[in-house]
Amino acid sequence: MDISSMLDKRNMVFDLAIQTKEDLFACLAQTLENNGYITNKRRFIKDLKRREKESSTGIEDGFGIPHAKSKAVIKPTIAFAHVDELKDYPALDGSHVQCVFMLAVPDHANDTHLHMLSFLARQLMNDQLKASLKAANDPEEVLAILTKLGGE
Amino acid sequence: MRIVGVTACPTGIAHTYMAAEKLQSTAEEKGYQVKFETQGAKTENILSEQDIKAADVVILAVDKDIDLSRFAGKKVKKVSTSRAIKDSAKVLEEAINGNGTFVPAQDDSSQASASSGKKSLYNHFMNGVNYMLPFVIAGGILIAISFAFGIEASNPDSDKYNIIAGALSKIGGDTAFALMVPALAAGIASSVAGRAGFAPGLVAGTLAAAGGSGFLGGMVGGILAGYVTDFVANKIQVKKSISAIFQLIVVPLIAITVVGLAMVFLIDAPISWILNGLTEFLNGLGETSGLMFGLLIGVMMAADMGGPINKSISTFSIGLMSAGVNAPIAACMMAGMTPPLGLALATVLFKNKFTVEERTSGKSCWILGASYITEGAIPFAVADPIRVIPSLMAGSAVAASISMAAGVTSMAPHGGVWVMFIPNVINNLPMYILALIAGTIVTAIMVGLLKKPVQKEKLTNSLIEEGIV
Repeated sequence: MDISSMLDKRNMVFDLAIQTKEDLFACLAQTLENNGYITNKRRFIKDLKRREKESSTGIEDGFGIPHAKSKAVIKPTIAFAHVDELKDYPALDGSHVQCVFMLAVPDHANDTHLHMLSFLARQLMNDQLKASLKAANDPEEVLAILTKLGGE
Repeated sequence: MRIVGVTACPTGIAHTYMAAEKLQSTAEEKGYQVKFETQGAKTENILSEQDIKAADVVILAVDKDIDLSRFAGKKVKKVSTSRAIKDSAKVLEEAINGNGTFVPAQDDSSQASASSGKKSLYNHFMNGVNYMLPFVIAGGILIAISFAFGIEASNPDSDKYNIIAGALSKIGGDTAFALMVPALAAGIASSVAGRAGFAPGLVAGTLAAAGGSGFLGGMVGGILAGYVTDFVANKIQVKKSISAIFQLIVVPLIAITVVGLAMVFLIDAPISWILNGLTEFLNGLGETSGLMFGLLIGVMMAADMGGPINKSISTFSIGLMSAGVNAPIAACMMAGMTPPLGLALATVLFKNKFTVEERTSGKSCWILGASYITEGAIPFAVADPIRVIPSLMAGSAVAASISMAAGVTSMAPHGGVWVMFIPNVINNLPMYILALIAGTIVTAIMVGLLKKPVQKEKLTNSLIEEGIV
């Protein structure tokens, strides 16, 4: 299985007008709902926030991976967003998150999907990859970069 | 340099793998040999015994409790996943230099908890409940099924004797229920002292059951057994050369002796005084109004569920039956049915006050309560005695006093709903059912008002068990 099978260009958002974590979650959840990946955006946001409460999902270099296992998710997917620096969403290194991979996982995800998500999480430890993702300007570019990763 | 480790986070989707990846790549850059087990949504890349044995140092990048017994005797560095991701080079360096590392002791889960904040009494009791629950549920339901054959069907001397009912009653009542308190105490003791606590706990629990102190005695015994064992096994320093023999022979011998003596002399003796005192009190009670006696029956039945207080009132009421006074036993049966029923109702009405497991076991309480198997309420009482027991007492008191005031009598000493609808067993069925409903509602509402909502941390635990994170 290839990681591109969990990506959908329609779920990639480039919007510098988004300036808070709240807006970010609302925007991505709305997108996922519109595109038929989740049933109920409020439920999904609640589950995202519950995970966020345990510890911030910001990682390094302005990247964040908010994620939730949620009853609201219909099919597992990875959404992407490039937004303004979110002052209320710090990463581990003190930077502010601006690139986000949002992982939406249904309650009973199968191993293949979980495998893809952990694969992506591992890839995000690679500085080069992060730099090229940050430089990407549109969904096509992001998709191309991620597709090149292939799968395992 | 060989390094092994474990990474784990509550969700098991992202940080587990990021931490493993970061540590692995950083270590490989420095030319170390590494292997990281990822305890994510499922555990992968599992460390073998040889892996651990060959390792110079162990790194745990974990945000939840994991089993440390595998790493006994190794040098262990424990950090959060976020620190491992952010500071992987520093974490490796500190681990190798022995900076902030510790060595988990042999065979010990209590060390694991010591490093991540002491476990509370609540955790110990909950562990005991988990050990006890299968006995309560399976045993209770088997007894209920044996009732379905007829209330006398399990008695070999009765002409209604049925061999299957007899066997079910033997399995459920005589065996599974008899192991309930020992399992509770063993579970509590194991939680405090690790595996070494199991045997002393089992002994303490069996003594509590035999001595008549019931589940409250089992809770005390389990805690006692746990701390005594923990002290002997972990706090007394012995030479390494005799350590194995010390752990194998001396620890159980001392722990079981000390705990056993304490149970026999400090717990059992006062219990038998209480039992005698209460029996005398009841015998001397003479003429009391039905209502007051009903209140007393309810409060006593629910106070310790199988302990001395409960036993003295139920034995007393059965004694009265032989004198042809059949109202108190009806009230007893009523007061013994409302605790599980009230809790079952509470788990439906107040979902946020119960963990997922409690809500599930609440379902079996419907059957147990309806069958007059009061023990169904014990797991809830153990988990939160101060709030749950008074609620049970209040509901039982209401139910029993309604039953007494209405003058309801029962010809059967046991059986719950299985006997209620047999003609001529209960003389005033409508009032009896009213008492049952009233008591159940009172208990449910009181539990709902008194209990605190389940804390987030505990919620998360149950979420982990559900496989959500």
